[in-house]
Amino acid sequence: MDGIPLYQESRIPKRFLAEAQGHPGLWFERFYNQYSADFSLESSESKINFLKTLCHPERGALRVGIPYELRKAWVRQKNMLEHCHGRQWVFSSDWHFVTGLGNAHPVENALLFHPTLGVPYLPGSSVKGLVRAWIELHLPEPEAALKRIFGSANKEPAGSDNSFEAGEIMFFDALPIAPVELVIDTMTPHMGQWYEQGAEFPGTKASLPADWHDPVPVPFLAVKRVSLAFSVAPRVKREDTDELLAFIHQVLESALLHAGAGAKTAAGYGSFNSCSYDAAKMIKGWTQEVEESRAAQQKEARLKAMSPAQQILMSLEADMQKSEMQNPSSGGVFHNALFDQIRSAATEWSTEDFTALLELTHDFFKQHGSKAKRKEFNQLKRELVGE
Amino acid sequence: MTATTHLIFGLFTETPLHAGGGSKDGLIDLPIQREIHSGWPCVFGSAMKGALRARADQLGVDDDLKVTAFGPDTLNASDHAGALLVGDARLLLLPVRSLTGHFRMVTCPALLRRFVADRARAGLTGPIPAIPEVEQGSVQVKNPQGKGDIFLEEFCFTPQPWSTADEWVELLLALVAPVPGLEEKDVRETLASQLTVVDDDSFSHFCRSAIPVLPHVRINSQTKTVEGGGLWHEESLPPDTLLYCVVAAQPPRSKRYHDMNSAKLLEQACEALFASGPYLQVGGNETTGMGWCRVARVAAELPGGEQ
Repeated sequence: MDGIPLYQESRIPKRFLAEAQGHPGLWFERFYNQYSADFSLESSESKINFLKTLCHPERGALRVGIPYELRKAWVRQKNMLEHCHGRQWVFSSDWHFVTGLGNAHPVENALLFHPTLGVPYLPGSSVKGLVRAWIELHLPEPEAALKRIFGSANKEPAGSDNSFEAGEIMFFDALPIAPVELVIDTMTPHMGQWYEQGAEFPGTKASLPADWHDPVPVPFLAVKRVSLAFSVAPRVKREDTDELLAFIHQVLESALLHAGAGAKTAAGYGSFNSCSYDAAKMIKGWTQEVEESRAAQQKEARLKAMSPAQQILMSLEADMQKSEMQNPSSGGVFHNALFDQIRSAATEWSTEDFTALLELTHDFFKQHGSKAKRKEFNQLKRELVGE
Repeated sequence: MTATTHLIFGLFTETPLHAGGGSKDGLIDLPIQREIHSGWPCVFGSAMKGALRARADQLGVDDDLKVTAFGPDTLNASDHAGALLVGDARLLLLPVRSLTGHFRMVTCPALLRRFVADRARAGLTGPIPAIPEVEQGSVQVKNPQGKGDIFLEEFCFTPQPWSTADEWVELLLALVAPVPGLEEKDVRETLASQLTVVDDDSFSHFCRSAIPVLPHVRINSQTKTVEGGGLWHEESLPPDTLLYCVVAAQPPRSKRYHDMNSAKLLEQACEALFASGPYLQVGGNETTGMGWCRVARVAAELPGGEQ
């Protein structure tokens, strides 16, 4: 912090990541504080120093993302996907992964952070591009698949037959399901002149791609380990949509493993393998929770739509399933309560509900009631119905 | 006096939303729609109506109901007007990144004032909490104690207590549709802890500087390099943005429904559109997953159809 403090007046929390759980992407994009007095970037040291401000002071490592918030985002996406008849597959990174590397940043290479979740992610457009590129390059006759999934056989307007339309598949942002480990990585380009001037001044000492150049270390931020949830859904639902989605799963799997997602894939970045054991276990638990919650909501909605009599019927039915209620001695109170219920229902309930109650109790006593109770019930029934 | 019925849709964005504003705006190739006088992001009523109609098409809603609600197709446009009047989707809460907590749901007095007016226009009754007055350089939050300064983007604000925060949380929550798997209590607590009012000028600034802009590149798969002209910058509202849209229904004008009143029509249209789930896709880039909103419906307690 020897250079110009850009935000001199502000009182930036020193360890904002550890203490206040601030947005790492905001810090990374807006709070670069390593310029020298003439606003130059002194050395790669200053870049590393800045990247280190993202690290936890004690643990030295950097993990971004709040487990609870990531779960919430997953639950929301899960519900939306179910509404759209979509599918989701989780893949875990094999090695480092970078996304949004080309965005402008003082350390030269940026990293794309999600605006609200504060974790690196892969935008839906990148997922779509990845799948498309794999199909274009690795399918023997890709035209039909391209036309169906992406709406055009050729990306170039001039190269197509002008029959552009919207593709059939929606590719959603691939979001991490658990906090993400970041790492400070270094690239050491040393043939910059060759890339910059090789075409213009070929063959000079400076512009040849050779070993005598000095390497220029450039630090950048990369994702060390992440499990991303890839979600797709049909925009149009057809009979064979399931097959199409299975095909996309297969393409995505191959593309993620062999081609890689994000940037620097030629250097081994962005390779994803099948879902890690921990991630799969977590997703399974979450899925169960969502399903239970949805079932509870539906039950509540059904209850709300019922008349009070029907609600009582339902709860009685549930009670009758319990073994302690079925035992004549321990369930005695319950048995007597049933008789009271029948007496009051005879005057207050509709005939239909009352008949249902009588049938329910009849079956219950037939199976679980003592002889005396059965007799008592039949007597009560005669009294009320008059048979 | 026509007997119209009103409804407010709360639109909570699940994915980034890009309702395209057309021409290039400064450095941004594809800006989003904004209100011209305030610069606040919005989704024009025409785009909202299109989104609703497209959903009706996709769900295979009965043709007569569709024509009654949205009007006949272009060839028969002169027959009669549609019964639904769809307003602009207006911004209410904008998620803004923070160094104190990941992000905050930010709004300003001018937005709240307009929301109150729109509620009244839609015939919604009930108590309305006071509009907070916010000084420049400070923000109002529910619990300012012990939190220190609040950082929104690169700006630092002094937090002050917001006496009516809880009432506002309730009013705003009505616009957020529930999700199975998320407890209502948690959603309320999250909103209460994130809700922040800034002054109108600061909010206008955030509406420019705190909206995500993503670069896109079109890569040639054969060469794996960027194609000429294949780099553009696209603006979009982030997930967790809350918008609302006032929809009014007039008495149906089509033959089959002409006996029906506006309240009944609105109910039928909503049932047809949202019975399968509270979701609506709004704006462009549908195939890259954008524009999905969770829709909550807030109606006046007594239907104003028959007066």
